[in-house]
Amino acid sequence: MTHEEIEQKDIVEAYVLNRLSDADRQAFEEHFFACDACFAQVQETDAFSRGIRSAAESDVLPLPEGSSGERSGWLWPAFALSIAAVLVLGVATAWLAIVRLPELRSEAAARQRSLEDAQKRSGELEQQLALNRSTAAEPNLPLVMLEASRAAGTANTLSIPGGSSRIALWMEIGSTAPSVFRLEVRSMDNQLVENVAGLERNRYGALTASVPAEHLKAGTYNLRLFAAEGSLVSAYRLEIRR
Amino acid sequence: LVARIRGGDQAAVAVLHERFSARIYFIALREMRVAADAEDVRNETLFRVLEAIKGGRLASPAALPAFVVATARNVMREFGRQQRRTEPILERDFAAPHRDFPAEYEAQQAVESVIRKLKPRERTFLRLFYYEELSKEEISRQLGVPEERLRLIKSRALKSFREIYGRLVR
Repeated sequence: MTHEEIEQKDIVEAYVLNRLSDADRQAFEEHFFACDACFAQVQETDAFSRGIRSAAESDVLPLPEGSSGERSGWLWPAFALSIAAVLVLGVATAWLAIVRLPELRSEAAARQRSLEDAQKRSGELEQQLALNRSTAAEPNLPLVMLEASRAAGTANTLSIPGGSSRIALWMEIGSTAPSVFRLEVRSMDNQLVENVAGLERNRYGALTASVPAEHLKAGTYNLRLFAAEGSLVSAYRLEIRR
Repeated sequence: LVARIRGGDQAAVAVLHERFSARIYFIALREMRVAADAEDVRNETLFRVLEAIKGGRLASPAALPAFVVATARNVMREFGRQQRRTEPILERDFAAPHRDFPAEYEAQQAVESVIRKLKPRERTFLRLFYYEELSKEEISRQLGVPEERLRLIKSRALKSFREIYGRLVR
C-alpha cells in the first residue's frame, strides 16, 4: 500500500471507522508501523472520531430534526414497517374485493330494506305522534277520573265544551293488574261506541284513554276495562253532558 | 536496527521500543479497549519480536514493521481466547466502552471547540458521518450537499481539530 494510494482512497479515515477489509487493514497497519506521518494522521483522526462520538452521545452534537441516521438502527425498521404496511394493505384490498365486497353488497341491500321498513314505521309513528300532539296541545282537554261504578254506585260525569275534539279518561287500577288493557265504551243499549286497545300504565300507574269527543253524544255510557287476555278488570259508568 | 539488536546493542533495543511501542499500544487499545490489556499486548509483542530478531527468525530487516504487526495480532488473538475462557459471559458479550485512550479529555475539548465554529449543516454532517456511520454518498443525498463540499467540510474541521488538539496535548 503506497502513500499516494492511502491519500487518494481516504484509507486513514476508512481505517479509523473500521471500514477496511481485513487485508487492507493489515496492509495499512504494516504501512503506518513504518510511516510516522501516517501514524500521526491515524492518531489524530481517531481522536477526532472519538471526540465526535462522545459529543453525539452527550448531546453536544444532537441529531437535528428531519435528519436520519442508521447507527441506532431505526431507519431499516422504519423502512421494513412501510413495506409491511404496503403488503398488508395489498392483501386487505384483495380480500375486500374478492370476499367482502359481495358480502357488503348483500348486507347493504338488506340494510336498505330494513331502512325502508323503519322509514315506513317511522311515518306511521309520526302520524300517531301528530295525532297525540294535537290532543295534547288542545287547551282545556276534558278529563274525567273514573271511579268504578260498582264501588261508587254513581255515574261519573263529564261536561264536554263545544269545540273539543277529544276527551281523556283517567282510570286508577291496582298494581297487580295486567300491563296491557282494552277499554270498551258502550251506550246504554249496549252499542259499541268506542274500543281503545293497547292501553298501558302511565308514569303514575294509571291508564289514560283518549276518545274522540264526537263519538260521545250527551247521555250515559257503560265503560268496561278488560285485560289483554279478555278478563274484565273494572267497569265504570260515565254521563256525558254537552 | 535488526543487525544491531542481533549484535547485543541495548540502545538498538530502546530504539525498537520507541519506534513500535506506541503503534502496538494503539492497535491493541482499538481492539482490546482496555489500557491494561493493551499494555500487556505491547509488552508481550515487543518481547516476542526481540526474541525473534535475536533468534534469527526474521526473514529480512525490511519486513520488521509487518512482522511486528503480525506478532501483535497473534498476541491479541491469544489474549482474546484466554479472556473468553476466563471471563464471565456478561463481561465478554458487552464490549467495554472506548476508554483509556490517551488524551481522551483533550480530544473531547478540541472537538467541542471545533463544533462551536461550525454551521448547523456542517455539524449534522459530522454526526452522520462519524457517529451514525452513513456514507458520504448517503449524507450528500440527505443534506443536498455535493460530496466534494462534504469532503472540504471534513478536512477543514479535522485541520482545525489538529491545531487545537495539538495545543492541548503538548
